[in-house]
Amino acid sequence: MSSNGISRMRRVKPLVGWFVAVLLILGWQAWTSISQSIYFPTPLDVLRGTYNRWFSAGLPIFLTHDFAVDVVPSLERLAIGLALAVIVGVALGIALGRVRVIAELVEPMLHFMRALPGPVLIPLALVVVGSGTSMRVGIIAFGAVWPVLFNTYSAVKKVPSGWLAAAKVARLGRTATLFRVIVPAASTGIFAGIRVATGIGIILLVASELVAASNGIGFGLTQSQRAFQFEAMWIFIVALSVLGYIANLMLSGVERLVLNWNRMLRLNNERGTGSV
Amino acid sequence: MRFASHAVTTEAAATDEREAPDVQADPGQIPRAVGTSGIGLVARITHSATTRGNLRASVLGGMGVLGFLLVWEFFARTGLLLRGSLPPAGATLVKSAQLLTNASFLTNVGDTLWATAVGFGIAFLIAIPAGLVLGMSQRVYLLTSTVVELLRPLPPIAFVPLMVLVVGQDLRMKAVIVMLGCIWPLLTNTIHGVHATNVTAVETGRSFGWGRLQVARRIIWPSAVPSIITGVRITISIGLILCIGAEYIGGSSTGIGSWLLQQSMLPQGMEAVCAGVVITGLLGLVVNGIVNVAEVKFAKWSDQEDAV
Repeated sequence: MSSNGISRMRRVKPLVGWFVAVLLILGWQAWTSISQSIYFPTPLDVLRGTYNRWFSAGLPIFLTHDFAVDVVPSLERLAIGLALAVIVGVALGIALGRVRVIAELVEPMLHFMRALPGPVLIPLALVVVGSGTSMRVGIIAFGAVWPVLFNTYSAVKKVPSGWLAAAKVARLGRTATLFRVIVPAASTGIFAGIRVATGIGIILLVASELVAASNGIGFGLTQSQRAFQFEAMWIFIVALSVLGYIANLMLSGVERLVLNWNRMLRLNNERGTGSV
Repeated sequence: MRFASHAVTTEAAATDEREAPDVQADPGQIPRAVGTSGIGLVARITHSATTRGNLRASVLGGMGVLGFLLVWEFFARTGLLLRGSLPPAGATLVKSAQLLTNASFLTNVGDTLWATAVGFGIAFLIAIPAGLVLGMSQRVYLLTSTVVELLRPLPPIAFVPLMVLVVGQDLRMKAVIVMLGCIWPLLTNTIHGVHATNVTAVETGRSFGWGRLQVARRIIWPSAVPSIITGVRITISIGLILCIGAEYIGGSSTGIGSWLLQQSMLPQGMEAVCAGVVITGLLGLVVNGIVNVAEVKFAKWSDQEDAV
């Protein structure tokens, strides 16, 4: 293929891709309205249902009371759980990557914990921390911490030793080396881990909201299953998909921001060493 | 080289999640990496097995495990920080050993593994050929990438209630959920693997007069294999999580998830629950180990293929 052809394709790519996506949705609409299956309502019905359930409160904020019951608690749990996972995972990952004794002490234990599928801990967590929000946040954090931790760990170990030597030559202190050399160098790996963690977090969010919960997306999903309300079920499925999609978009945005800063920092560092 | 050596050294059996971006990062190196992996691997295995560092690591690791068990025993016996009663570590380990000879428990474990395997197998059969096509044809890739990006973040667990009503609560439901979760990491890793193929190698193949299929089989496939196996490693643990989650949520009649749910409802069932959790963790470790062995095998295979 000529380079000209490729660049033309790059330009039309988003259009073509969205065109195919729209075609698929139209196909879904056509199929569901013809088949009349009770399991699969048409996308238009789902859209209308979503609007009526969550966004029909009118001015000024549009969000209904149902939105506050169905969605907001889930968002809170996911956000807190993921934040905990990232903080603990990055901190532990750096500690493991920098101090060999710690790594050797805890590594077999960590491998075991990582191999534990999150949902099996729910019955245990009910006993240990009770059935409140902290149980759900804890389950999310426990399941999501491993990809962050192990990715940080391996990224920190892969920081070129030359950079560390350069930091020493530049007389950077321990803290400065950590925040200006190690963390920026490992940030790509850390973000890859956070991405995986987000997916796991959403799975565990739903799983944890099915037990002893009174609100949230997972709760609404099972409630509508038990009542055979297929349209409501699809509303929750679509909501979870949108949640996954938005989380991904936000991550990409933050990643771009942070990695940009990372590149600038590196440039600054180079300038800095140049002037010394 | 880097990729394959992760499989055996204790330091890094853990790095699977970040290897996909890693492979992406230096596409030019991949064919050579495949070529040398076998030798590097053997050297590592024979070397590290005898070094003092390895002994030290296992002693320290053992101390870590022991320390964890002691802390567990302490909190269970004193009841500090706990809402309910947690069975002590010793009793749980004894119970775990008993469960390993308990036929009905083992049947449940087998059901979970079988459902995961079926779902994973279907995902594999779809994702690998699709990934090869998407990776090799720019046109197909451009046509489908938006749809893939829209479908990929869908959390499979959200479909459990729907699938329970459509296909029932057991094997078929679990397999569908596992498949939905496994298909995307397999697909993206296959595409990454294909994209990481050395362009010069492909051009060389073409200049030998090889057709598309031959280039695919002799150059693109071998260099995509390491990335595909990374995908397999990530995917199998996701599959196991999803399968147990689906059993737990979907109310399956068999499987580890449903067994745990039943036990947790019994009075005095916590000991069995904890023992089940311990065994599930060990099971995850065993599955990971098997995939690691397969990885060594396949790395060697692609090495030979490369040398021919």
